[in-house]
Amino acid sequence: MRIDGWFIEGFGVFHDYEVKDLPPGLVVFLGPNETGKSTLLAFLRGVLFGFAARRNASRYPPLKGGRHGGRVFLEASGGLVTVERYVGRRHSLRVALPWSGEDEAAGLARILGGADDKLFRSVFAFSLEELQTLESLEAGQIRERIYSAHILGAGRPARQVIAALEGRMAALFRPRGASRIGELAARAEEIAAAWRQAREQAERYPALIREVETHAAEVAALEREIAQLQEQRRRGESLLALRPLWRVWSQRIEQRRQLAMELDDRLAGIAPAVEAHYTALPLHEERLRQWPDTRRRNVKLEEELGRWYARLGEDWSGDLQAGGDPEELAGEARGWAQQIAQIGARREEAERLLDAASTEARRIAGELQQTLDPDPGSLRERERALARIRPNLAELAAQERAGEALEAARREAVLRQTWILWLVWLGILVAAIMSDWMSGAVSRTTLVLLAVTLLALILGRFFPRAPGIQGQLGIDELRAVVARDAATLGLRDPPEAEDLEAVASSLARERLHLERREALQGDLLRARETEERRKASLAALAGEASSEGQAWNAWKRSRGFPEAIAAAEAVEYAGWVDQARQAYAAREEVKAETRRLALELGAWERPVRELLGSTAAGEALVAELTLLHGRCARDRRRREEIALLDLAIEEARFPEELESALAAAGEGEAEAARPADRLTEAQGQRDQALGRWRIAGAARADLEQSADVAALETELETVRAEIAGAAREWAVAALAKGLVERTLGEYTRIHQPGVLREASESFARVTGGAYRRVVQQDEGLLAEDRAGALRRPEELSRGAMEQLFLCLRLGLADEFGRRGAPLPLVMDDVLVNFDPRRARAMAAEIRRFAHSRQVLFFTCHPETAGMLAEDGAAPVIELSGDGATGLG
Amino acid sequence: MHAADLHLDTPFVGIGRVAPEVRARLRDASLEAFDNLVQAALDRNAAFVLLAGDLYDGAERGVRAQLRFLRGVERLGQGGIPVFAVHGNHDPLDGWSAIRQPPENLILFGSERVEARVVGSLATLYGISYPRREVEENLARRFRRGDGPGLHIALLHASVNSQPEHAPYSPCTLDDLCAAGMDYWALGHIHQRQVLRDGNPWVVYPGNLQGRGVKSSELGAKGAMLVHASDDRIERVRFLPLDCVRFQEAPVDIGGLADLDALRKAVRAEIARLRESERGRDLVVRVVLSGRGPLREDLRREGALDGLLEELRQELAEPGPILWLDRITDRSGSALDRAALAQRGDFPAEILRCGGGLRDEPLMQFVEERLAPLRKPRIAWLPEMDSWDWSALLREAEDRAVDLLESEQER
Repeated sequence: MRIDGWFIEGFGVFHDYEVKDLPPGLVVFLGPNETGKSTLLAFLRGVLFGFAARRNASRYPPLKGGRHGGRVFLEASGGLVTVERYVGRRHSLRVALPWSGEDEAAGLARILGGADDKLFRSVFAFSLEELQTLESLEAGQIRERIYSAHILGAGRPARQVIAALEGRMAALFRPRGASRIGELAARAEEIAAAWRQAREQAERYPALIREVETHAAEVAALEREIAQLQEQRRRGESLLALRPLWRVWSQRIEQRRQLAMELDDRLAGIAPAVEAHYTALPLHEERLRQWPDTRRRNVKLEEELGRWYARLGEDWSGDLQAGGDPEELAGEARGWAQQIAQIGARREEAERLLDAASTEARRIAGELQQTLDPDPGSLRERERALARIRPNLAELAAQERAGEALEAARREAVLRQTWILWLVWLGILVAAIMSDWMSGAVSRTTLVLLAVTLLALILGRFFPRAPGIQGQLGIDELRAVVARDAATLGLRDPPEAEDLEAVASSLARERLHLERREALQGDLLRARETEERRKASLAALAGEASSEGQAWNAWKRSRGFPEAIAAAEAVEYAGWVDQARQAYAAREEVKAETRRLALELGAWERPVRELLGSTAAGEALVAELTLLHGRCARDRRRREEIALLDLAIEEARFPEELESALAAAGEGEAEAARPADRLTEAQGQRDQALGRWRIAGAARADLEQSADVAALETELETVRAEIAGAAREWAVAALAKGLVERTLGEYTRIHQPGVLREASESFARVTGGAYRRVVQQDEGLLAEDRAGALRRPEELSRGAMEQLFLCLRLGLADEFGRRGAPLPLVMDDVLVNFDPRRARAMAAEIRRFAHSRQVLFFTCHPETAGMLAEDGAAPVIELSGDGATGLG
Repeated sequence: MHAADLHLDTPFVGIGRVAPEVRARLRDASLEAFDNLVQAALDRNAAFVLLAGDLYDGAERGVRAQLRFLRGVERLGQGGIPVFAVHGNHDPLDGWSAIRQPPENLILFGSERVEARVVGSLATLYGISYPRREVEENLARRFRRGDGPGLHIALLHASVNSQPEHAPYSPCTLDDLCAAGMDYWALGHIHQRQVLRDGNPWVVYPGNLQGRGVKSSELGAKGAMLVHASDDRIERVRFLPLDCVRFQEAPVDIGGLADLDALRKAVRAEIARLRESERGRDLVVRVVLSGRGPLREDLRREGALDGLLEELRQELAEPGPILWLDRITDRSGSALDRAALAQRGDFPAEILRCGGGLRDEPLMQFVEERLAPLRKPRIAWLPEMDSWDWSALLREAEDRAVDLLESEQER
């Protein structure tokens, strides 16, 4: 592969900087400092393998504009390949391949022989600084790179494969720290512990069965002992239980004997009679207690009755024994008193009314006398005249005013008619005169006419027209009526209005007097009628009071009341009578009770005295009977007790053979108690054994049901299977890693000598034989000097060390070229630290190396360029610093 | 009825973490399978039941397992069915027993000598138990046909010929068995059902009663052999599936599958096929990917298979019989052709060449060197790695390394 040229759009000082048609072999780029040699080196690395990370100085931002990046043209076996890349754009790589069917990136990787950036930078494109740095050519790394996949063809670098496998192995297992196998083993340990425990439990099963059986036997033995002890205790307890019964039975026999000795047959004979009297004794004692009180009450009531007789007086003729309802007598007396009082009240009222009626009649009569007494006929006549005269006067005035108006109207009408007649007549007269004038002769007619006219004028002047006759007639009549009425009223004709008003007032007063008088006369008549009725009522009441008084007296007599007693006092007297009657009845009742008590006391005491043969009475007799009754009762109770004892004795009669055992039971109590103690103890032991039995039985049942062992075994097997799987995967990964490492090792072993041989020869030539060869010991490189001494690179001078590393790079590049594609070398002033002789020798080595591949050498030293391009062995391209180039 | 390797209350081997309901089902599966055996014998009114060892899984003999066994035998006794049993390497006679008084219908053969028991005129049964776990003696040679009536049946827990996946306890050959003159060898120990001879004599491994994991010998239907005999002659031997949970492998070829979704669909189709064929039965399925294809790289990604597994588990969860996807085992190969790769002469080719060189003498040395970090801390619970097929593992390692090296290019 050869770099044919490049086009830098923008990178450091370069802008649109193009180099084309670079030849194979050595090409020297000469330029002073800051003309962009290092920039070019970085550009080539960046386009081919990717630009450096952000903020890295080697990114070289475009100082003169243009897109940051550019193109590199490669001459590959298939033609010209353009590689284009720009900074900061992901996937900005564009590879124009002259052939088809190959992925761009894969094609570029193949052209570059699988080399990566690090390999390229270390072996193929390096600056002086990188040449000086040991790390840039760390033998192991570079060897690995060369001998792993890259150098041999496309594919993932072996070191990445190893790292991936190591990663997986570490995840699966690592001696320290968390890993899958470690976790699973820990889990398995936990399960195994649980499993061992469960298995130990399971293995206890036979022992557990024996334990269950032992406990069962123990329980059975204790149950048997308990049964025996219980039987023994039952026997003892039975005797102990019977002994009190037997003791009671014996006591009863003794008791009966003593009771029989105390019996009295005489008492048994009189016991019923004594019992009968004693039964009646409470009643008798009650009567005895009543007797003095009854006597005292009798005396007291006699005295009270005497007082009532005294109060009723000697005139009392009633019978206190008659009895009757006391309320009835009092009610009757109250009725009489009310009745008589009512009649008296009614009489007083009648008298008061009569007196009032008489007084009223007198008052009305007096008032009547004082009232005026006008003549009703005259009054009526005048009232009529007054009633007529007023309208007549008004009519008269109206008619007079109407007649005057009528006359005026008539006169006006006549005058109007007269004038018209006169005009007509004058016309005719004028006509007649005219006619006469015309005719020249006075005609008769005209004369007649003049005469008539003259006559009419005279008549009209001396006979004025008279008013209407009819109107004149009505007025006169009316005036006559008015005159008469005025006369009647005693007024002049025509009367004046004031007079008429005075007459009207006078007539009204007279009319009032007349009406008042008529009313008083009516009232007087009615008052006198009322007076008469009152008088009749009073007379009737007097009769009624008389008959009532007679009935009242008859009632008093019938009731034995004194004659002189008034009705008002009768009620109180009736009360006295009633209370006297009550006192009498009470006295009679106590008297009867006294008699009854005396009889009853005697009826009880007589037979008792006979029974007791006593002469005592009252309380003493009672005491004697009580004493006797007590003795009879005790005798009877003894007999009852004996009967009960006989019954009990007979019912609980003990067999004779048991009696001796019972008599000895007192000593048996201890024996009966001892089994009880042991029984309690044995029952406790039995319960404990039962508990143990149950626990063991439950444990056995649990074990029989338990699936723990199986479950844990299954789980353990599960984990074991997972461990086995993980271990297997780890083993495969370990073997794979081993295979890759082993293969790498073999490669190193086989191919490394060639590299070292090439490097040794170059190094010997460059150093003029000062060093014979380069060898590898362990992982380190050593340079063998002419004396055979081995020196580590750091023991060499700076120049010698750089010469060694440059020779090694040439050897490695040669080896890479043999294995894969021969890549061009790009060096940036790597000869500056060499002395002129060795520099020249190294230049010769480079030229020689450039025979088989392209070498681009950047330098700022013209002498270095001269050495390299000696005898026109290589073109020299001068860099001007402004992006221009010139081929030297 | 002939059954063997009951492994009652057995743990399941090699099963990854399971859902709780699946765990409970697995825990009880061996016991329920035994219940199925008892019921099947009662339903078919079997003349007798033969149990050829490994009744329990461990010498510890879980109490639950023993009592379940006892109840089953008692049920058979109530049905008038005797049970003849020998102990095997998992339950030798030196283990403890919760059964203190075996029911009368349970005839356990001792370990001192081959005992013979006559079942009326029907058969004469021979058997011997393991006194301890490791029995290296060829016990088959102790069996000799006697004079008893009926069929002569031998009951033995043994390893006939060499059986992979099984410890060679009481090793014997088919010739040894034929030499004893029996009519039927009721064998136990090998979990894969096998009829080694189908007459004169019949030599039969019924396999275990319930699968115990996803090993090849544990896959598929498990149960007992129903032996039909008439006139002292065995007419036919028929397999009777009795297992509760069945273990199956679902092979899926990734060749032609474009992406993980296509793989998911392919797995679902395979599972559907299994469900159809094992209708009504609980299934634990391990998906095994094989073939070559571009999908390989997706599968290699960290967590890709786990994610797919979880997704499939969720998709396949439905009411009815359990279907548990145990794991997805990737046995697929790179899309690259190894032969062509080896010819390239580049670094991956060198890897293959280096691996090929290791297969000879230095393989185990190489393995030991590489495994040292894992073995050095002496971690308990690590599997016994010596028995691993290191050649196969090395091949996987080569694939892994090459895949990783090539992945850059494929990307």
